Amino acid sequence: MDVFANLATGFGAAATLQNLWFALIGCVLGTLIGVLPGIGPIPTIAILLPVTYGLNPLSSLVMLAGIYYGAQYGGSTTSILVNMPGEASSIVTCIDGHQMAKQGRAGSALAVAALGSFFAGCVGTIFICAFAPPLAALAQQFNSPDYFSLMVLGLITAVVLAHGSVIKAIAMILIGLLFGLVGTDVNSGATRYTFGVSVLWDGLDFLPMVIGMFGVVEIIRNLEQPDVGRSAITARFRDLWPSMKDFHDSWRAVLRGTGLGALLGILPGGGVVLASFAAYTVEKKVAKDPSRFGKGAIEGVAGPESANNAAAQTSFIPLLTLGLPSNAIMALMMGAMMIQGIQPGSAVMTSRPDLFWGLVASMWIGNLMLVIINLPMIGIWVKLLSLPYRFLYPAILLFCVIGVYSTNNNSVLMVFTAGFALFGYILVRLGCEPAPMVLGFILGPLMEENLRRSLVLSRGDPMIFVQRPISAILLVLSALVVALIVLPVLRKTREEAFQE
Amino acid sequence: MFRVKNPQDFGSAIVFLLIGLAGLYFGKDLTYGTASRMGPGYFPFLLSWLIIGIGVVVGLKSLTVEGPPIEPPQFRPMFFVLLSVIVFGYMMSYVGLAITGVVMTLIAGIARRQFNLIESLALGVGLSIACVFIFVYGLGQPLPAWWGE
Repeated sequence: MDVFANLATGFGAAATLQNLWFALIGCVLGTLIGVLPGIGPIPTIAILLPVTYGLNPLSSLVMLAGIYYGAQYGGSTTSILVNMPGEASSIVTCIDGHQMAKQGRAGSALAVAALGSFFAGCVGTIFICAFAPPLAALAQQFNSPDYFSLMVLGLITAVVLAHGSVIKAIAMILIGLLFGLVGTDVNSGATRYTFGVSVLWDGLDFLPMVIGMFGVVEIIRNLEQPDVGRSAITARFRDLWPSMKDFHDSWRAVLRGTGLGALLGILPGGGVVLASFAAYTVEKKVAKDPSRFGKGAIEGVAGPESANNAAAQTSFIPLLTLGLPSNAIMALMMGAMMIQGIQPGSAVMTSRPDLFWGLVASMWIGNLMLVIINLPMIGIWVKLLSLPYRFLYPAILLFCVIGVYSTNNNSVLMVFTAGFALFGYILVRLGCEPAPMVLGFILGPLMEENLRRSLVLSRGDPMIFVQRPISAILLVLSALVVALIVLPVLRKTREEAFQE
Repeated sequence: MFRVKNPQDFGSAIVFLLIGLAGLYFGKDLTYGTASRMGPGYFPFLLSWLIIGIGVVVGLKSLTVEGPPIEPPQFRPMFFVLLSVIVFGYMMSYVGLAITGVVMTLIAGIARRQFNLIESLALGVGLSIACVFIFVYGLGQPLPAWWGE
C-alpha cells in the first residue's frame, strides 16, 4: 500500500530529534493555553509565527499544529474542574464534565476526555491519509475559474457553519478581502491603499491584525468582566482510572464523536467548536435516557471531546490538499507555510512529501505525547488554574506585543495592532464575528489573481465560471448552501443547533 | 419616523458603509480596466460596492426588525490596554525590552479598576526578566534587550 510507504516517509521525517522536540513544545504550549481561559490557540499561534522564521518548515508546522490540537486536550481539564471552558471547543464539556467532577468522578471524566481525544486523534490522522491524496489529485485538475469558485464555496460554507448573522459575516469576509489587497498590485505595480506608508507596500502585515483582533480584544473584554476567583476541584493522578463501567458507557460515544468530528472538521468553517456542539447534541439524541445529561453523563464528555480533537486533525485536509483554509487557525497555518515559501495546495504532497507526511505523522506522535502530558501531569495543570487573571493578562499582552514587534522592530506595527484591536472591539460590540475577516484577508490576493486569470482566459466573459464543469459544480454547491439558510425550515434548525 | 430597532445591526451598517465608501474614495486613482484586462482598481471597487450593498441591506433591516442593544463599552480597560500597546512600540527602540516590559505591565495594570502599584511593579519586573531570557536569549529574536538599538 502506498499509504504505508508514505507514512514511513512521514515518520522518518517527523521522528528526528529536532522535530520531536518542537512537537513536544507545541503540545505543552497547546495544553497550557488550553487549560488557561483567556488565551486561545489563535493568538498563541500568531505570537509564535515570528519565531518560526528561523526554523525549518516541517519543525515550525509540527509545533504550530501541536498547539492547535494540544489546546483541545487542555481545554477539557478546565471545563471539567472549574466549570469554565478553557477553549471554545470545550464549552459543552462543562455541562456534564463539571457535574461528574462534583460527584467525585473528576478522574474518570479527565481520563475519558484524554483517552477519547487520543483515539479520535489517531482516527483523524488515518482520515487525512485516506482523504488527502484523492482530494489533492482532484485539485490538480483545477484551473483558475475552478479555484475562484472553490474559494467562493469555501468562504460561503465557512460563514454558514459559523454562528451569528450570515449577512454580516459575508460583509466581514469582503472587508477581509479588501484589506488583503493593501500593498503593491503584482500585475500593474500600482500601490493600493498604502497612504504613503512604506511598511504597507508589501501589504498589510498579518500579525498586527490577528493579534490585535483576537489577542488584545480578548484581554479588553475579559477585563470588563469582574475578576472572579476560580476554584478548581482537585484531581490526583491515582484517581485517574476510569472504571470498567465508564469504559463500557463511553466507548460508543467516543466512536460517534470521532466520526462526526472527523467529517465536520473537513468542511470549511467546520472545525472544533461546531464538532463538539454537534457531538453533544447527537449524544443527547441517541441516549436511552436523555434526562441524565446535565447531571454528569459520561457520554456528554466522551463524545464532544473526541469530536473536537478529530476535527482539529481533519481540518488540515482542505488546507493541505486544496490550499483552502477552513477557519482562522488554518489561515494562520497557511500564513506560516507562506512565510517558509511554501504555497499550500495540492502541489505540497508531490513536491514536499516529507513535509506533508511528516506533519501527518507528527500528529500521531503529538497525540501520544498529549496523553502523557495531560494524564500523569494533571497536577501541574491544576496548579496553573489557581493563577488569577490579573497576573495572567499582562503576560499575555506582553507576549502579544513582542510577537508583533519582533517581525520587523517597527513601532508603526504597534499602532496598527492597537487600531485593529479597537476595530475588533467595535465589531464584537456590534455583533460581527472577526474570524471570517481573517479568512478573507488571507485569500484576498489569491482570489483576485484567479478572478483576473479566469477573465483573461474568457476574454472578459463571466460565463466561464458556469461553463467549466468543476467550477459550475462548485458554484451550484455554493448556491445550495445559500439556499439552506434562506429556506425558513432549515434556518430554524440552524438556530436551534446553535442554541444548545 | 424612522426608529432604530436593532442598534447592533444599525451600527454594523454604518461601519460597512464607511469601509465601502473609504474603499471607493481612497481607490479613486486606481485604474479600473475592463473585465478581460482587470486594472488594479477592478477587484477593490467590486468589493467596495458589495460591502456598501450589504451595508444598505443591513441598515434597512435594522429599521424594521427588532434586535439586541449595544452593550455600553467600558472606557478604562480599552484605553489603557491600547495605550500600553502603543507605548510599547515607541519605547522599545529607545530603552529596550527590559524597561519597556515593566512600563507596559504598569500601564496594563491600570486597566483594572483594582490597580495595585506594588503588585504590578513586581509582576512587571518578573515578566520583563522572563521575556528577555525567553525571547532575546532563548529564541534569539532580534530585539533590543537592555537599551535601544
